[in-house]
Amino acid sequence: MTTRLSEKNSIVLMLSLCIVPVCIMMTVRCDSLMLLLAGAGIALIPELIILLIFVLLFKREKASPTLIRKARDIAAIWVFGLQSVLTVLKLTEISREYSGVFIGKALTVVLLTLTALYISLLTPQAIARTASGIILITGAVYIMIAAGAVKNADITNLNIASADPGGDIIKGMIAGAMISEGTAFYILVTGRSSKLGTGGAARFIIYRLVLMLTVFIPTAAVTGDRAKSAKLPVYELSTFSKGILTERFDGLFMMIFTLCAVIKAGTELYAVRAAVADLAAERAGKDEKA
Amino acid sequence: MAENNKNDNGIPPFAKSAEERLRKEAGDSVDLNISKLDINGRELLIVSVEGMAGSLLINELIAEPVEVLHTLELSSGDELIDTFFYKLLTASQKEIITRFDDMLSRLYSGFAVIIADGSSRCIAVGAQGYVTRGISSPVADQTVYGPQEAFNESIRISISMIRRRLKTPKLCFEQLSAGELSGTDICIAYIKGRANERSLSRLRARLSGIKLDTVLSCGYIRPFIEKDYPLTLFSPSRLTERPDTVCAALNEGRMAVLVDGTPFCIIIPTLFSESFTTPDDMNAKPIYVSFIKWLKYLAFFLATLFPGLYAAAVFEPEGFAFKLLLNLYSAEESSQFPLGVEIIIITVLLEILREAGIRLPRSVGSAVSIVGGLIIGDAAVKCGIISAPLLILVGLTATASFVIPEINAQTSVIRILFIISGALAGMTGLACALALLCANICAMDELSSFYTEPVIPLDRDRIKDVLWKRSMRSLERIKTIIGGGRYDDKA
Repeated sequence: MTTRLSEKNSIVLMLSLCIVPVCIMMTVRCDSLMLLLAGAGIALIPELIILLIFVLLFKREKASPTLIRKARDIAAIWVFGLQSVLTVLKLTEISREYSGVFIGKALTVVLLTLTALYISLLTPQAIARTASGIILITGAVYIMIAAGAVKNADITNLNIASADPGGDIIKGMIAGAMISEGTAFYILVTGRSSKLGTGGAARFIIYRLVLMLTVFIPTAAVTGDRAKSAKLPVYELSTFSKGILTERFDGLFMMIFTLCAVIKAGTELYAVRAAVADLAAERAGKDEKA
Repeated sequence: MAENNKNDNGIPPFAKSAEERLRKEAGDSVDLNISKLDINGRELLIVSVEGMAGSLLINELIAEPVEVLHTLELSSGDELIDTFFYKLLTASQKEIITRFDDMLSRLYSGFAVIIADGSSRCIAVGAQGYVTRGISSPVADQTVYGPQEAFNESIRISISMIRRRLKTPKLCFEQLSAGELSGTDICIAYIKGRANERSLSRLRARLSGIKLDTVLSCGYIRPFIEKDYPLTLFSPSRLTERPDTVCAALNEGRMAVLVDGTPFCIIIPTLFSESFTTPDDMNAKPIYVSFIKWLKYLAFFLATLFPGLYAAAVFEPEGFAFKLLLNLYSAEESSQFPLGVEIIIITVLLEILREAGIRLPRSVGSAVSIVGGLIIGDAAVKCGIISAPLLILVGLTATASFVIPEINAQTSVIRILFIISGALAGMTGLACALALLCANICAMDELSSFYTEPVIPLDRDRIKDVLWKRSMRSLERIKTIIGGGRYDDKA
């Protein structure tokens, strides 16, 4: 809590919280992926507003009253503790779907938890750098896949025709709102609202949008209508090398999802640690005074 | 020795008692040479350590002044010392010493010490004449077109080799000493105005805090320099035996630590991306160097992650094309062990053979590779211990790891870790191992610079050096230093 991060590092940490949900959002069944994307884009507006409110309200961390800080810390322990558990469980579920031979729930949970715990014990700067590395790896893999799949892409797949356009947009908005998973709350808990600033908040939303577009548009261009029937349509992108050396890239996606999940869980556990440390420091301060 | 002298650290004023104490402290060591002269009834001792000080040099420096001393009327020992030191002695390295332990340390560093009866001061004259190895070609840091000079074991010669290449007053050498018994000379080299002052003072403090008995090579002090990261796989410092590499590093604002008695120099801080560069990069066309750089990145991927991916393939068989999967399956059928165990066996075998090849003489070393490659490899496949595709995998992995010698040791460990995690837990295990490695590397921020620079955090100027090789012309315009920022010598 006492460590101040640069605006850039704060944005990276917040992005690390939403990178898995962005990937998982593609599992939402809909008629048009583009309309789903539009809905997710609309959901970014309220997120930006909440972020700006936090940034403006909590400009000076020390100025916040003790009671609010205490409530915030307790809420953070609850929210992020729960979210880290959910992240691990969600990934375990995906792992079972993706793996040809599933290694077992218990082993997956243990591996993910231990890795996330290790990451959460690092300094916030080191977590931010690790998150940057993982976002880079994820981005590079998606770009490579998109480049490889381009022969299967069809511009007509990017249609906005849907039997239920309103429904798709609403689904997108719900999915987009779920992606947030406390990013705004995160900056508040870890005391980074003052560092982030209004410009940083706007930049974060733009990066989020870019992240969604990078993952979505190539997928939509390749899969098109098949997206609605596939449970996890993203693997269709791997068809670029089909029949030569590789058949499907489920394993690669599994790896990328796991990487994103451990950094997400690690960041969440770090937020819990920060909140606990803040509460403990407050308590120690009181004892000293007494 | 230091404990004995705690109470009385002064030099005895009488030559006889000084000699007795010297012999006592030195344990009557046979290499202690004490030559006695009579200067107009006053005893003068010339003390040196055999092999450390050159006898010819001592004669040359001291004989003539002593002859002059005979002709002078000197009333006290102090006057003798002052006359000798200020009027007669022409040596460039000379000093007056008043403490006994200082005298001993000079003596064991190759100085000749002159003690006069009736004075509690003595003169130390630099007369180092110990035998050193000549300057030879680099063994570990070879280049084709670059300079062919390497440091040698003498710190003085190594310093002069750096100075010869950087003729600027901004180049500073700071001498320290480490090792309670060895008293090894250590030297920090840096360029004033480019090296980060805070990092420099931290480095100084770390080196001064070494409490070892002996410091015999760079390996002794490296853990103290990299104090914050005892458990990391990679190292934020690196070793080089090339003076030109050190000069290039100093130019970029880094620091170098020279240790007497070893032909290697420690450069700190260093970056992960620099493991993929060689001194020869400066001498080739940028387009070729860029191509080689990307080949090295691919080699690093092959050497570390590829065997792990293959081990994890058991959990993801649908990843392979059907025909390839059938071929691999039929080859695996002949083997007695599970795929993961096979890969571990063959990789460990490779490491054993490699280690044996390094330590053995060249003639025997080639025999080891024949035994390993032809006999063990072929026989292992025929016996059904390992499958034939694994030989291709190991061959590819081993060759790829030799492309990046700088991080060869780390590559071996990472490979084994990835194989174990891939074999035990498939892609999930591999991803967890990758995340841990990523976190391990990203956590390193040694002496004001991040190990993952300039990629993370992104430095727009220096990232180009990671992606491709810039021509020397661009370095005229872009003058960046490690840790970000630019320098301006005019400022």
